[in-house]
Amino acid sequence: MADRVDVNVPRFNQAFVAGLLGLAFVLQWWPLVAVVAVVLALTRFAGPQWGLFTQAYVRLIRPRLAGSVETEPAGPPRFAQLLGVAFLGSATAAFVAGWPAVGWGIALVVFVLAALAATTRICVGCIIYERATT
Amino acid sequence: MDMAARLVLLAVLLAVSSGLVAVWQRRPGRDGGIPGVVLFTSPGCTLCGPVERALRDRGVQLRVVDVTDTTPTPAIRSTPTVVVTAPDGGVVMRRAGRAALEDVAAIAAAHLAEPGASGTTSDDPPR
Repeated sequence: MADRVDVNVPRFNQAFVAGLLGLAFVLQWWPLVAVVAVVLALTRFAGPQWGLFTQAYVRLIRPRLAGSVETEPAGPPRFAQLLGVAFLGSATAAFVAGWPAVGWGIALVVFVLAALAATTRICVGCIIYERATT
Repeated sequence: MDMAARLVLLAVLLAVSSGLVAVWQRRPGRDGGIPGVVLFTSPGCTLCGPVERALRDRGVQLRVVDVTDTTPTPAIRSTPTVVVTAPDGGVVMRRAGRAALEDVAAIAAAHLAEPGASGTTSDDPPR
């Protein structure tokens, strides 16, 4: 089947996003939010070969996994990634505009959703995509 | 807000959202989100896509496994093969080939049935 993705790739990306956003909030260092937004944007628009988190999984984690690779349609996680780029881009714009409360609020929403997706496989962006396309 | 307060806020956010997810997953008809249907596929399998779409359209949460990836699966002789498992791991139903597409309704019903209602294995009907 065409256009499928290893289920661990989105989970690994989401774990990285959640971890970095949580770190940014604790340290109150908003440029890290912008960095995460750029990495997500590169992965989404330039391809997974440009995705830092994806390449870390493919090169370091996947070769050590035993068993068959479970796959899922690529459309829903790509849409969720697009939402992440939009939200984190908005958060970055809020920081630049001098609205840190708005920026951190948006970043925390993405943090929670990414953490949930990484641990429970409940991807809100994926659900939105599936509901909108059926 | 100092660093400790920010850490506490993150922990609270995660705990609350996890609790909400746990409540949502325990709603009637759910089995805790653990998919009990596995669809085995392979490259070039023309029926695999329609079987997957038909199952997802009926609300079945399924795992899709490519049999040509890494570890071989000797129990799977053809694709598509759909295996429905009970919460204890026992096989409830297994369908392969065109039967997997023709029996989508039965597969979905077996997956969405109450845990413990299954006790027998239903393999491919004799042809």
